[in-house]
Amino acid sequence: MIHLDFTYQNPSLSMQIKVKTKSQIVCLHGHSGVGKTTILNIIAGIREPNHGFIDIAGRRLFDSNKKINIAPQFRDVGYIFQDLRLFSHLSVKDNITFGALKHNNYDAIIDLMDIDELLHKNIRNLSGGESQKVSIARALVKNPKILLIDESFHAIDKQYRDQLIKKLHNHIIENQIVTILVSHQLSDAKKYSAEIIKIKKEKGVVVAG
Amino acid sequence: MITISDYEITVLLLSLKVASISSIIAFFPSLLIAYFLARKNFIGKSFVDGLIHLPLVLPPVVIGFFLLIIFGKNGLVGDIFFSTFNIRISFTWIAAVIASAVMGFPLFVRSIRQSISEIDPKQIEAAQTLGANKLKIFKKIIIPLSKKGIITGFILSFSRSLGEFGATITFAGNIFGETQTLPLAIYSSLQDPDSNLIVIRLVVISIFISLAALMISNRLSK
Repeated sequence: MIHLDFTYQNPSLSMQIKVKTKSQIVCLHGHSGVGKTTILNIIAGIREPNHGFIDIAGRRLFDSNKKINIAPQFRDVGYIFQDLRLFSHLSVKDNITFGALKHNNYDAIIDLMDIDELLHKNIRNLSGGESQKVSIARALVKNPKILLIDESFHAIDKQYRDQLIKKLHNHIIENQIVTILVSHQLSDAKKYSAEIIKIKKEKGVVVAG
Repeated sequence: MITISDYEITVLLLSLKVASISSIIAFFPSLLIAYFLARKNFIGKSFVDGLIHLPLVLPPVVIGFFLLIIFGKNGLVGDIFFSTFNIRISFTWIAAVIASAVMGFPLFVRSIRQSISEIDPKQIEAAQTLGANKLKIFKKIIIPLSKKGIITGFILSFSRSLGEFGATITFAGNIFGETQTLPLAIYSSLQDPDSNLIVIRLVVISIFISLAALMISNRLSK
């Protein structure tokens, strides 16, 4: 389901990632700042590897040899950012429907996240937990084939966080969404029943395994 | 009660017409160029940047002279307009609009460019992952988040037009009812020793309009 084999270099980071797994849900685990978010950004298409390929859910998203580089908007990715990145100039509803296609699962996602009452609110007036739910809804509403979750629930209290992860996990399984999550906490990975892939630095190069 | 003479009304309305139309005309090119200067790297960027800012540093009369060369009756573009459509551009109100648009253009571009530069690239990345193409990002993210810069740029361009003198008198002349805007009317009245009162009244009108434009700008950009 996931086959990554690429190198990525910028002035502050050198990366050589090889991952091959049939797991539907994987968790990239490693020290803070090691480059986990960069891997998600590369998969989402907002950073470009130097060489290699990216295969996820039976689709080649990037291949330097075959000059394939699918633009981020066509990768069918839902990305829940660590810093949420909600559009503060738009209402909650406009945020959620921003990327929605004609055939989307808007009603189901609003139900799932229980955010019906928030829809006409201004983003600036949401609490941390509410913002979190909106960012999840925004990523899921276009029914993506790939979901990227970047340490998104650290600001929420434990009980609420467990509920949210459970809901999200059920949705991922039901809709067969290939999910790559980044987390400091292995306990989160267990809640998702995710395969854990360690991201570490070896001789200055970030590697997986 | 203070009354405004027909002469003053004619000058005032022409000034407002020229300032409004020139700012509207300058808006789309300013937005596009500001976007490219703020977000893109391309060969010749410094040259384009410098070219856009020329009206700020050159004497306005020089700009007027260039406009005459381009749009004058025998100019590069003016000749085509005159021979094809029998339309004369120089020394008409259209020339006053062009002169104002050119002089206000760098101010418009600078203001919008600043706003676009301040947009967090992460917002654009988020929009990309949500499936938005470049046009949608431009319409839904770039323009709304540059609103302050657009409004400020519009008012700066509008105000620049109200004060525009050198390029206008060179390219459009000083024709009452056609190209004689407020500064040109003040200049003409200053030539006549008996028109001191008219000068003062025109100056007061200029101050009033400029202040009103700035107040509207402050209110809209909040």
